[in-house]
Amino acid sequence: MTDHTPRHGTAQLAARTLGAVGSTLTIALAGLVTALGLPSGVVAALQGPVPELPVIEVLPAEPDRMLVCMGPALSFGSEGARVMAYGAPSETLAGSTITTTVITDTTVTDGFALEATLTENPPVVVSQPVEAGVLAATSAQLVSNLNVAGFAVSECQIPERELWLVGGDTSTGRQTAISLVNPSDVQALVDLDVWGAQGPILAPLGQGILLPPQSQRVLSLSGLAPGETSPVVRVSSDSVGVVASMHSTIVRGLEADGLSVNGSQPVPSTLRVVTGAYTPPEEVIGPIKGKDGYRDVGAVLRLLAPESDADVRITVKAPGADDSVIEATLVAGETTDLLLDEFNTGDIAVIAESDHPIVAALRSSVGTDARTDTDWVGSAHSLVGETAFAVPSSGEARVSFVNRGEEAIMVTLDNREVVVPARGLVTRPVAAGAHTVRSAQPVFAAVSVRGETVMDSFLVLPSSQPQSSVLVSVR
Amino acid sequence: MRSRIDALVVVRHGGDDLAKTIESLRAQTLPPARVLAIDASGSGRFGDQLDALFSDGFEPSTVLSLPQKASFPAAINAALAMLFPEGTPAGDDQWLWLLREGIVCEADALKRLASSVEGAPLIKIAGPKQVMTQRPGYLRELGESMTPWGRRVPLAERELDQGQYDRLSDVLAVGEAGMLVHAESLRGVGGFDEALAALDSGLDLSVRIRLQGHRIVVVPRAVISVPSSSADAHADKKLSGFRHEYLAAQSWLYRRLVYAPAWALLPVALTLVPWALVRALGHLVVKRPDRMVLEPLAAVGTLGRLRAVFSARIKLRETRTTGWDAIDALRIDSRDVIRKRAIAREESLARREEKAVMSPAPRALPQLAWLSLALTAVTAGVFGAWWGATALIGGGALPLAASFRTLWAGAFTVIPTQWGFDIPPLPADPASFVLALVGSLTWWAPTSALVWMVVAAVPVAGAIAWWGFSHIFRQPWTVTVVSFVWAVSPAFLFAVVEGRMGAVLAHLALPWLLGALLTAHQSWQRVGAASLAAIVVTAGAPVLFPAVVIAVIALVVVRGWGSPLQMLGGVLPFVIVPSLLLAIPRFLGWWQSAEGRWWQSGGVLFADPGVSVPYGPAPWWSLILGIPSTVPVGVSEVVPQGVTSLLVLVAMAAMALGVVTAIVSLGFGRNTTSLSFAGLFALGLITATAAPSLFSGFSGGEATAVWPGSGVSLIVLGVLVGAGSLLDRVWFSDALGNPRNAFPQWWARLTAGVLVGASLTIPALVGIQVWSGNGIVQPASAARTLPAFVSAEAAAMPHVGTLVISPTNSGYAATLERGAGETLATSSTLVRGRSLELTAFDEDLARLAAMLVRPSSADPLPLLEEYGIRFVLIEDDRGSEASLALSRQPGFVSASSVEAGQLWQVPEVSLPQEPEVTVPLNLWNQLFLVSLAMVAVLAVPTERRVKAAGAGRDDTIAPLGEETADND
Repeated sequence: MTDHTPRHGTAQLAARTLGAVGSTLTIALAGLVTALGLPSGVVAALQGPVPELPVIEVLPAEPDRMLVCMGPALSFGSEGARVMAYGAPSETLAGSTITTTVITDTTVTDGFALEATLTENPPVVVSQPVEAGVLAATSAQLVSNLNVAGFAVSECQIPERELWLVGGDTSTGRQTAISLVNPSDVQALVDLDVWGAQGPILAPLGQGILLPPQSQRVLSLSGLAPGETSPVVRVSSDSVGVVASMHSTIVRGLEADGLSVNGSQPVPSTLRVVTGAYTPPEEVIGPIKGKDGYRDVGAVLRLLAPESDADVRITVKAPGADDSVIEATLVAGETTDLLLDEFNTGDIAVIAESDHPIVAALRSSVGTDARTDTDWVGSAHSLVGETAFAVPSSGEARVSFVNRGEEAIMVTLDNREVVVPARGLVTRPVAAGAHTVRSAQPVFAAVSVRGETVMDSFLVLPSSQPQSSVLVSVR
Repeated sequence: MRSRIDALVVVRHGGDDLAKTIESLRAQTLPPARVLAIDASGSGRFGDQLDALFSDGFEPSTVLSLPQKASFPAAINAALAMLFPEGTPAGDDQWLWLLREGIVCEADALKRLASSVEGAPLIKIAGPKQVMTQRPGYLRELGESMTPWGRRVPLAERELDQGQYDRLSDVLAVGEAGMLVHAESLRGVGGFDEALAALDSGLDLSVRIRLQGHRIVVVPRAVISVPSSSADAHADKKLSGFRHEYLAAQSWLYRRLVYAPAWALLPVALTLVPWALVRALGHLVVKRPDRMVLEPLAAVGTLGRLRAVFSARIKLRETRTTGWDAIDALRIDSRDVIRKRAIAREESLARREEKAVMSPAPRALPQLAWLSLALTAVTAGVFGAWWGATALIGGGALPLAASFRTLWAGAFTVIPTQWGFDIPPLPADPASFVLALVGSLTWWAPTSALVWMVVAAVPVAGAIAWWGFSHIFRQPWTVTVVSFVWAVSPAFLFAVVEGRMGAVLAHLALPWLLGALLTAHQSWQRVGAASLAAIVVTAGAPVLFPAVVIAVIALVVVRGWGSPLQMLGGVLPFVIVPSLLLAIPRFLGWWQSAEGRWWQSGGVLFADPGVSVPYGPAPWWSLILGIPSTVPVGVSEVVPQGVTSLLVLVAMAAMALGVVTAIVSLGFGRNTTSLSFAGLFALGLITATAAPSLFSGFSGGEATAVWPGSGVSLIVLGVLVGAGSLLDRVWFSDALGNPRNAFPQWWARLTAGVLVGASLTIPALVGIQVWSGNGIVQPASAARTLPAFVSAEAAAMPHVGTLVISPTNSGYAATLERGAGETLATSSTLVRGRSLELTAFDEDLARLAAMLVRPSSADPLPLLEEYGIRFVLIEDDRGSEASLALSRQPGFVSASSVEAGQLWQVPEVSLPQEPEVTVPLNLWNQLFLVSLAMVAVLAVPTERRVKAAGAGRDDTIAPLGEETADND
């Protein structure tokens, strides 16, 4: 191997041999020990199992339940620039330890004042600690003046980051005011996206609306979508939840004739249930429909599939009648108004099942030759567990329950049991005041309040579920 | 008038030496008038032997048995008192010849001494030429002198007697052995100073005689052979060089006190110890730390003999008749002293050069230059994408520190302010100190030094490895090949690409440590270098601490047979103690935190410094083959799995060839390389296989273990030493320079080629990963881990807190960071591996995180205020539940929003006006710094590098084999 001789001599040779043997033994021993897994085994045995990072379970302190009411009926003045409020709504509350505060930061002026003073009845915020149980509130207002006439009822709403408002009309004689309320302590930037019969409407004015904390701002929908007969609006907030409601008024000729305030409905889904609507018999409404300027008196279902084309199967239910079914195809982004005139009348429910997410709302009207009123009702929420609703003291109120399940379910309404048959609709009259609803299975509910020439409706909102605990690991 | 000469023989151990001395006395051409044997053993046991020796007609002879064991001066003084009792004048012609057993006098020695004093009444002492008994022809002593400072200087070195000093006559002093002294003068000055029992008694006597105005001569033609120095004779054994130095220093200091004028006595006595300390530092600077303790010891010892000093001063004052001018004229002047030292240095260099011929250091040029060039090309190809980055972030790579001040603030102590503002400081990791040194290279931006270190790691590793391996191998090409393979070894590249700064440091320093350790027995400079390297290795990879300690102890035991004092007293403490001193504060902190359950948190003790990066463990055979873990993440996104596996297999195969070569080398190699290979391999294998079991804290919610790569580096080092030793035996030309081309040469070419070629596969793999930007470590343009907004505010408020919340599988992980984010200077393994028991801080932070990530009615402000948190960073997208919940918090301002995280500022929170906390260095830190200064002084490369004359062979020149210190 090499050309030079190692140093010889017995001592040298012995030392080298010893060294080589020692080295070989060391290597062999190390290899053996390792192959047997001794080093890691000893360490692991001493150390015990590798610990888990300790995780701390924290139950968040629930924020108070909070609802924002609609405020007074709104309409834009003749010059169109200033939003006016007429009168004051009355709130009916369902809860135990309720605190009511007022949104003072508003741009709404008092419609009865001669000077442009701000309204004295801005929207109220109703809140209650979570421990105090379910909370609900409803605003109702009967207005009859030169500019606005009609009956408005709306549930006080839970602030959300994404809201869908389906309803309204901005064609001649129709006004739709969108009221945005930020009840929180943090400002919100709100975007409004509008869809119409011809597809999405480019509305730059609706983008980046600043809602300061505890404030109300009102926009005219005609500013965003002028001359649109079937608008749908999405309100989205960048941060905190806000509340939006649509105040639709109708002026026929020179007379105010019809008012509806409808709140927001859940984000698009493939199943929409619209109930709490009342369509009067054809013999009552039929003659009115024929009159000039009364084209929007019939029952209409407004549908929108915002993202993609959808095939929708619509079932119209009425008490004591067979279900009617319509098939429709929606073009993405284009709103569709379906006339429901030839179907059953009474306290009806409409169930729309779609292959793609949609939103839906129903318009109906009551009235006489002299005076009519319009009602927009949005898609109802799916209710599970206990919740409440408050019925205003004016008019006749009926609550409707819709069961989408294949089995009959039991709904407890104020300690009375109501059986809702499979895929069925049940309607019960309810007195003014607070009511509770409890259901173990999902049920959809809305309330219609009406008189001979006045009508509006509101949704029964689910009460928020307590939050689960959060697992936090700290390092 | 003929002199009457009595021969005095001091007997302390008798035996053959005594017989030889008596024999030579008997053979004198001028026999002494009388022989007086002084049994100074204290037991009188030599009386019989002496009687027997004197019985066959040695007349007249007397045996004086002293009652107790006596030194040579004491024995002479006792004999003097017996021969010439008080009051009886010794005749003016009475002379004494002072001998001790073992001295063999040439037949005419006495005659020549006697004739030199006859007719010269001023001459009171005559000294012979002392030659060494063991080395005939070598001088032991021929007259003595003093430096201006009073230190004894022999006039003749230990050198071959070629008659070069034979013209000497008048000298300042002669040694006491074989001294012919005038009896009355001896008595007149009060005899020998018994305080100078071991050394310098002859010098002292000569000085006192001279101060009476007499002369002293040396008679080169009177030759006696002396077996041992007076100190050895006094101790009855061969004393170590250290003892000699000590005795010489002590007797020197003693004589200074005695000879000093009265006015100077106090200053001299007071400055004795400080001066000794200064001289000790001087010894350190000239790389003789072994002599450091000796001077202060001697000074203290001398101060303990002040009584003897005073009686000697009185005696001197009483007997002195002439001025010190008589002495001064005969002193050696400073220039001669310097010249003599220079000659001694040259001699020792010559001796080392003779040794060096046997194991010549390979020439550095041009191979080192080519190696550096090649490795620079490799690093440019692999890590070039990181060139010019301000910082490297990701994996284990963090910014080093924001400023020079914060860099050093974290060098010894870390205040975990993320746990609150009133938290006591924790000892920092040893690596913090080393990294602080690295960062100080670019003091204006410490992080850049780290980037440079990483980018230049490969060539630097090659250069350091060249230095280390050049102390092991003899041929430049072997060193070059082995250094190349070392510098691109997979464990190293994995460490770099995952940002394991500690492991990188350890890998860089390992060959330095090995080369310095294996040659530590040759010079103190190497001991210093080894110590510095050990600090870097053990700080960078604490998991190597046991291996380093075991290796050093094993080396000391093996090498200790040759030079036990230097190895046991010097190498062992010098190499290990600074590293230990640096590690002790952290060890104590760990011990405290372990709360008696040390075996459960052993992993924290050995935890990799900085950030621990999770890795995929590899089987033990893969560790042997140099692959420490699964291939770092990011590779698979660019390179197909099959190609990756193939490249890794090729690298493994090359390493397998290396292992086989190394094992074969055991049959041929030198013991140094064989034992190094075996030791490093075994220690490395055990370290590397144990490391993945050592739990060392959590990294983001994931339990991490110690990295096995540092152990793998040890294995690779061992295998390269072994394989290289076999390659190193192949010579491509014979002694006459003719090329050789037989089987060994072809085998060596093939093996080296395969090793180098296959070693490039892992760099290729890592290079693809780095250039594709998929690596864990990413080059960054700013030295921060938190968003720029926080970093900007941290410039004004260094302790501004940022709560970082990131979603995990089961919930959220919350950490609190300060300033612009975590830095290596503020990271601590004790913080990372802290006890798993929940503290108030944990609960506070969890509560705070929960109230931020979920809608909550709780007010986070008090907690934010308490911990000084002005920022909350949600590492999740904008629409996530946590971000939305946070957006509902009043008082929170969205500061930045990118995909990686949502940053919120809480301007209401004010930071407590914190006094600048500076933690003083504790005792251990101070001791470490002192020891570091010592080894650093030692390691300064001032020694002349021994140049080999040419390619040497094992069997050239035998070593002289004899240490010839100055004073024995």
